[in-house]
Amino acid sequence: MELAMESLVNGGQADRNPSEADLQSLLDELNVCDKSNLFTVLQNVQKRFGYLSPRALEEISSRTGIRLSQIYGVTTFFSLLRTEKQGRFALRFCNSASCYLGGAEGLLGACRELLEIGPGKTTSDGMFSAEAVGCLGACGAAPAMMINDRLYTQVTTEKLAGLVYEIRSGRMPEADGVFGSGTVRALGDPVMTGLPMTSDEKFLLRSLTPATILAAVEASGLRGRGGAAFSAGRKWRLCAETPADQRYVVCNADEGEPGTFKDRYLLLKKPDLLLAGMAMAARAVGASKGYIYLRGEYSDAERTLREEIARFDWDAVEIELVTGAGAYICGEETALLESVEGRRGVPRLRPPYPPVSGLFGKPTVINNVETLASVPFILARGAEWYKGLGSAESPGVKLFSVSGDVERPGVIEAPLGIPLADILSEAGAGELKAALVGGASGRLVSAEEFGRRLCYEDLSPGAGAIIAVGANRSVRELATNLMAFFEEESCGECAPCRIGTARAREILAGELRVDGALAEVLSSMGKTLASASRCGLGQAAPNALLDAIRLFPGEFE
Amino acid sequence: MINGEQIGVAGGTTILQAARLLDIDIPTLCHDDELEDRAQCRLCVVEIDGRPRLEPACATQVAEGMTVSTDSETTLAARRMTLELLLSEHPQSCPTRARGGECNLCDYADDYGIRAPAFGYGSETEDIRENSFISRNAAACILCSKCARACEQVQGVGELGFMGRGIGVTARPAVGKTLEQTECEMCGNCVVVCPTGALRATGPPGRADAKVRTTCGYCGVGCQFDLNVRAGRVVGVTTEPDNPVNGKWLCVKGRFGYEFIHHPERLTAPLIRRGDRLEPASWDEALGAVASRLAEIKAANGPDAIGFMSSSRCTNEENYLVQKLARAVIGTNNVDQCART
Repeated sequence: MELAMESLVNGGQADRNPSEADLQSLLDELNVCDKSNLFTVLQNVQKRFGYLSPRALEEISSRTGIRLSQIYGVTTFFSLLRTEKQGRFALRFCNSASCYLGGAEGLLGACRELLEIGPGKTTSDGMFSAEAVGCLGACGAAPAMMINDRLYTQVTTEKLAGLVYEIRSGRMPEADGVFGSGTVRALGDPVMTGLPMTSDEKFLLRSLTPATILAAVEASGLRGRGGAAFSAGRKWRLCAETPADQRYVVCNADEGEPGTFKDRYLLLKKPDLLLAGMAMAARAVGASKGYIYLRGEYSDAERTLREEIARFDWDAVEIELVTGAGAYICGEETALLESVEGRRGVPRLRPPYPPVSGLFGKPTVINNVETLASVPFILARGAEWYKGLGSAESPGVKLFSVSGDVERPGVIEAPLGIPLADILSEAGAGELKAALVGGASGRLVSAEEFGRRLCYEDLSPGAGAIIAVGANRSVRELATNLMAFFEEESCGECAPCRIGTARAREILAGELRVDGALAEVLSSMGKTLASASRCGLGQAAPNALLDAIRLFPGEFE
Repeated sequence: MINGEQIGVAGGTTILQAARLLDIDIPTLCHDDELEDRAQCRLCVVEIDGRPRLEPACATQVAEGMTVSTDSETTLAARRMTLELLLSEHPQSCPTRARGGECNLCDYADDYGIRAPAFGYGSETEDIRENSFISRNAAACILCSKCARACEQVQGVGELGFMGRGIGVTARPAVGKTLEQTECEMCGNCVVVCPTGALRATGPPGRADAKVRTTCGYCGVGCQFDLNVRAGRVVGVTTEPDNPVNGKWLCVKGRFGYEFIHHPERLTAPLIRRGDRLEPASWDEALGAVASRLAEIKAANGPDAIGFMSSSRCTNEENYLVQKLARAVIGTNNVDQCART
């Protein structure tokens, strides 16, 4: 279906009152009659009318037979879906770790001075609304913000004033690019960041048999690049061997881990690698349909991907793009599947795992962008070649997203097993107190340990975010910022995470007094979250905090 | 093996089920034997040898050779912490206990000796009247989702769900609506499963002196329940899982339809309309009046001018007699009863 390319975050239609006739004709156009695409329908209705009115939601419920309580449950879950009009121009200020280090708090203050509104408010003339949001995936160019579907980086108070002035003068300022020259480089021979694949290499790929593809990916030892590092070959093999009439390949492009922006790079600059990788995965497991789940904030990547999908003529795999609607938890693979199926983004209980029962209950391979984009190289140059790069248990190269207190942030490609110090040095780090490796859900590493190797058997890189923490930074304030992120993004389903992240943030921020030593209370709570939470978000939420307390106890008295 | 005791069970048995067979009690808040588990409260987490994290006993199937501990130090610490976190969202003065009701969260807090929870208590909220029979208190809710699951899985209605995300999540009907404005059938099953009384029956609390097991008179299904009696008056209805036919579930009639018993307007004698007034009469007078009027109407307009509407609250025998009266005495087939609709 061809709709105007207004992305989800565009509040531009907010001053129109949708008429009943408008609503009915849009719903006819969207073919709203079945249950399988509620998530996309909600987004498309909001694109047209600027928000989701009670009437619109009732009509969707009536046409699909989906209960109103489920539709409201979904609508109220996602940050980018709204049941009330916002300003014509929605200002979204990133306040996650790297942008926080880059001065994001000052921007919210500047917004208050300039427009007299704080987060969650709209100006009385209906022009502007402001919001503080989680990581926008532009960490190397912090602080970042979005106005409707356009991204602006390295935003200062002056720049913000300039943007507002342009808008008031009737012009929409051009978006900033994220990957200017010098921001992407490789240590060692470039692979993912190197030259495009040749047409000979692509031709070779198209003739490979499922068995060959599967064997090569297994032999290469490729491990998931989205953070969990599970063996891609084992995942594909399990999917291929589960009897079914239908299988799916899903690309997890919901890059949301604070400090991570390498998938954005691949989506913008190397979409052909991703699609080729998906086609190979589909052939290997016997899937005829693939989905790319792209976070809603990556409107630049949405355009690129739609063009690439339109151009893509390989194989019998049909690829559909589904955009997310502002929920970090939907980067968790089963929460992602839940949202595609029209439910709240709540992780599933496992077993069964997606390769056995995934999207719509069918065997599904779900992999990160970088994982899938690595596959064409493995197939073209050989599993042995790939295994020769990297370390014993972590073969291959990895894209690291480096940001924070460094001179030359950006995407750095390097073989796994490279010492953290080498990456920090390449990025121009000065004197650092610590580094946050793996994003908000990663580990805080003190300077003494910078010699450790970035691989899954030593210092796990997670999805590859490295945030440098300068010598003068308050680790406690950083930990508070990270916990606030998890509090905001917790799905709310389980008691320890839903309540623990909120209480921990309140304690760290001095809003809640507790008896006993701060460090002890937080450690005790952190241990329960880590061991008893229902999913990886809650389990990982206390990681950096527990490290911070252990390494810098003086800051937590 | 659970806490050192061996047991052999069929495949598919959960750790919780196996523990119960060994009389080992594992606390639960979001588990119900008749609802699909979602393992949300995390109170039932146990330690399993070889697994890196604690696992929910309600949703984890046993495996050959599995070794489980339900009372290790780690397990108990996690349990206490989870209770303290839940209490930090619960009012210090529990609205359910204040009315003499049972709150499982407060009960567990007592069991585990938590008198001064580490993160304090939560604030109170006003009761919301959802419809004639059901009220909701958000502060007492622990977001166990049993109400939503019962509404969907048992009743097939699904008008309760989770709204919002994270710490702001509320269990309620679609935003902006009360249950009255939805397809809620007022069956009260959500009230039955609510562990904290956040969902409760509207109206004064009905403390019972005695419970009388009986069969519902409203329809032919014949559900069983306990009439709760105090000082000779019925003050409420409760159900037990062991009831044949319905277990703990009921419909709105059985659950809430007892007020007629002591209603001041309940008929206690036949009434005959004379002029514009209804005057008490004897049964002989009343039946005589009915018989002669029906005979007159039949003579003047034929038998099909008369129709009979009976009630599912009548017994089979009474319904048999009504249709016999209609067909054999009056001579019409115009007979039906309200259970058809």
